[in-house]
Amino acid sequence: MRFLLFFALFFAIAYSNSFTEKRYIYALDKTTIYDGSIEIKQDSTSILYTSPINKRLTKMDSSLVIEDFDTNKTETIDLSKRLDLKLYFEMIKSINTKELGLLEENFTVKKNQSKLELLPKNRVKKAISKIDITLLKDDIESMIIYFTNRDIIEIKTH
Amino acid sequence: MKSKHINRALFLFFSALLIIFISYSLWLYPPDSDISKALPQDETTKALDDYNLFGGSKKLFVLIKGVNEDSLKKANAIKKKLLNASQITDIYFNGSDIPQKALDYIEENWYYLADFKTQPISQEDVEKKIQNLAQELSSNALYASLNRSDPMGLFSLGGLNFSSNTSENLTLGDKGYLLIASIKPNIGDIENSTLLQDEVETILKEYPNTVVFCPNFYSVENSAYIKQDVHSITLISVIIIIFVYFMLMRNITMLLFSVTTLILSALSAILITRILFEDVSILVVAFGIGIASIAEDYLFMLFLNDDYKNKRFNYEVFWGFLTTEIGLLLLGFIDFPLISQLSIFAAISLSISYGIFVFIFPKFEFYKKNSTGNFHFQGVIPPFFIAAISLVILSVTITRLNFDTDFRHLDYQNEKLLKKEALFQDVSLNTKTPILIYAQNIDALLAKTDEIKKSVPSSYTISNVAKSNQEIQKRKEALAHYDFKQLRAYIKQYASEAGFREGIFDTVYKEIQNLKPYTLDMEILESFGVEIIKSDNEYISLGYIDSKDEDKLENFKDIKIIDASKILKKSALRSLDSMRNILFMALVFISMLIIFVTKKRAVYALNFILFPLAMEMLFLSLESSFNIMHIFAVFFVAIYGVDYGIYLSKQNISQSIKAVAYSCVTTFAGFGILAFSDVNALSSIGEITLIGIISITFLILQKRDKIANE
Repeated sequence: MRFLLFFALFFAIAYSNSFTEKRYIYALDKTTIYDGSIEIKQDSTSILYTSPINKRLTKMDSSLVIEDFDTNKTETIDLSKRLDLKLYFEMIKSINTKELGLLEENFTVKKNQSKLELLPKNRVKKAISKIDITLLKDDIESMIIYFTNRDIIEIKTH
Repeated sequence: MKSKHINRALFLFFSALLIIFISYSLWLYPPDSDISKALPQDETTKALDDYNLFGGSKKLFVLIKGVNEDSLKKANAIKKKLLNASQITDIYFNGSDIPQKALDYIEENWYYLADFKTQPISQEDVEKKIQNLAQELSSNALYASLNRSDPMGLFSLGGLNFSSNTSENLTLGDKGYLLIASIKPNIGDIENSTLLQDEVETILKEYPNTVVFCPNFYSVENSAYIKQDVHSITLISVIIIIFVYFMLMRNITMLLFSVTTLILSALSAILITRILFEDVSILVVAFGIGIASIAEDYLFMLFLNDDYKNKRFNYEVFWGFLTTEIGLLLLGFIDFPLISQLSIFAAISLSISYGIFVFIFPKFEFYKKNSTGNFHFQGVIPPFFIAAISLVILSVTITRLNFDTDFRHLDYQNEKLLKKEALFQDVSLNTKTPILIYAQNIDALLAKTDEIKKSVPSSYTISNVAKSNQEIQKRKEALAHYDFKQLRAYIKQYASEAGFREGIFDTVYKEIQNLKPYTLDMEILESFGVEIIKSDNEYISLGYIDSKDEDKLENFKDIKIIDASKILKKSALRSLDSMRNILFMALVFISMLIIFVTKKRAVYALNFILFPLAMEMLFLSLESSFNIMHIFAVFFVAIYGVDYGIYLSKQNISQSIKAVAYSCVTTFAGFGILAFSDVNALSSIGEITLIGIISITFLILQKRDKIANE
């Protein structure tokens, strides 16, 4: 369990400009819906959550800045000490830029028409049961991540 | 048939037999071309040898240029292929490469190995923590899974942080992806290292944008280069010497016998040195040609002085030989394999040649023709003046010398590999300094690493991934004293209030009650980069510290810091010290012997040591630094000069000078050629010998004393 957290973060969200993320937490038997948008620039990647939280996560070089617009507080995380988060942002970027080679490192990808089924390899298996991706033409329309702890994250693009 | 012909035939026959036998033996057991083996083996360098026994020291690095999808694909493909290579055991590219059994070990022994917060948590804190957890899970920007076995975070990775918690691929800055392979062969195992290099280079041929480096490649490439260099030098040297001998003697028969003698003595000396030292450096072979040219001097001296014709024993040549032998044998005591091998080789080779030239050659009846011509001397500098100038030069230059403490500079400077090595210097592992910890048993080893941890918390040793019996006992007691029952009750109570699903914390902290005994698996330790090996009667473990913390370990016993340059420096200074003492003793002894033998002409004879020494020191003071082989050569020229000094001060000056002049020419060919070698150990000897020979040539052109020159 100690290591699961890190792997689970790989695919939390990704791609496109605006998205809706439905996060089901089994331990609480509770679903939370997040709205947000993502912006990828040459030297930074930003995720802006607008509901129910009002936060922006910006990754620049090896630091992550979390801005809480409700409390006006800013927190900076050194990503060289949090490689899981660093990887998380790199994955977001790679999915958005459609460099899917990274996925194949950790998943067996099964393609069935507009559906992609990602079955985890290696130690990712301990955290994730599978990932279903629905494609609309070449873009990702939705992605559902099934965690081994029964949490489910469903992300839809707008 | 005349007896001289029978003697000559018998000599050639037995020499041929011996030469064939020895050549065959040396073909079966060839000299070693790895210079590192010829460096001193003392207490300090033993640590380097011990370090080389560890898997952690045996690594191969591959850089796949570029950090992009294409490079990543390449890196994964290369990794797959390299894993099939016979000399590679495993490859690290990201956290997923940590073997599952290593992670299982951590998982199974988690409560023993993890850092444990022993401070009890109050009821209020449990309530707060559970509420925060629920809040974070339902509204945190970053998704995190619930840690159901330790929601209070009592146990943490701490020292166990060995990067398995990432799937991030290794990179070398922005230069590209980095694969680190563990390899089978030790650095000195040239055969398997060559196989490794061949296998890896064949695989990487398909991938042009890659760079590979492995310290073992130095052994492979340098050894092949040195072999080639020594072979070329030896060949050129032999051709020049045979040509010079022929030009000087104009006697093909005698040339054949003298060359046979030199080959026989050199080969025998190599074989005997190999038996005495169990191994012999290939540099001894290159050096052998020079030694052979010195031995030939005895022939010149005896032949030109008509000693063969007059059937007399030449005491001056004997004294010269004896001093040289004593000097060489003294050098043999220096604790530096290359120098002691060269000295013992020279001593044996010279003795055999001397014996044959003095006791067997008279039976061959080689006599000098009468028309030999005389030398005309132009020099007018009196011996006292030369001695005074030499002393002045010596006193000025000796303080300006700068000793090069890096033994690695003696080896062939492989620019291509040095550049590649520099490219990989940024690898984060390399910023840590390896340390070796020695103890009588594993538990003592673990106790020592626990001590190190207290002084250097950032150290990474076996105590990061394994615990001593004492520590395990302490942890058991700490766990037994902690009130987990109460904690569980609080967690269950507040979990329900915070909205957690019923029964989600039913098993929280329960497994602590029935912990399995702790088991240390030595094999697994290697996966974490720290391992334990048994060597003789002790256990050694590898660990790492930050370079800035090296001073903190100064007071620890049985710990060696593996800083190659510092270790080699220490060893080099030790060698220099021991050499300086022997050099001083030998020079005093040789000088006394010269004074005893030459009496009135002592200053003249001593100049053959003093003047070359002064010139060599002048040369070395102008160079940026000097090395141990320079010193060896300085001493060598000195004991070589003794021969000339004694001989010239006693003999018929005209014929003697002729003999010495011939010797200088052959020595020039035998040793001087070494100056053109790319192997620093050889070129250093060559440079000094050249200067020495030029200085001696200058001396023989000066007058011996008033009477002799008039």
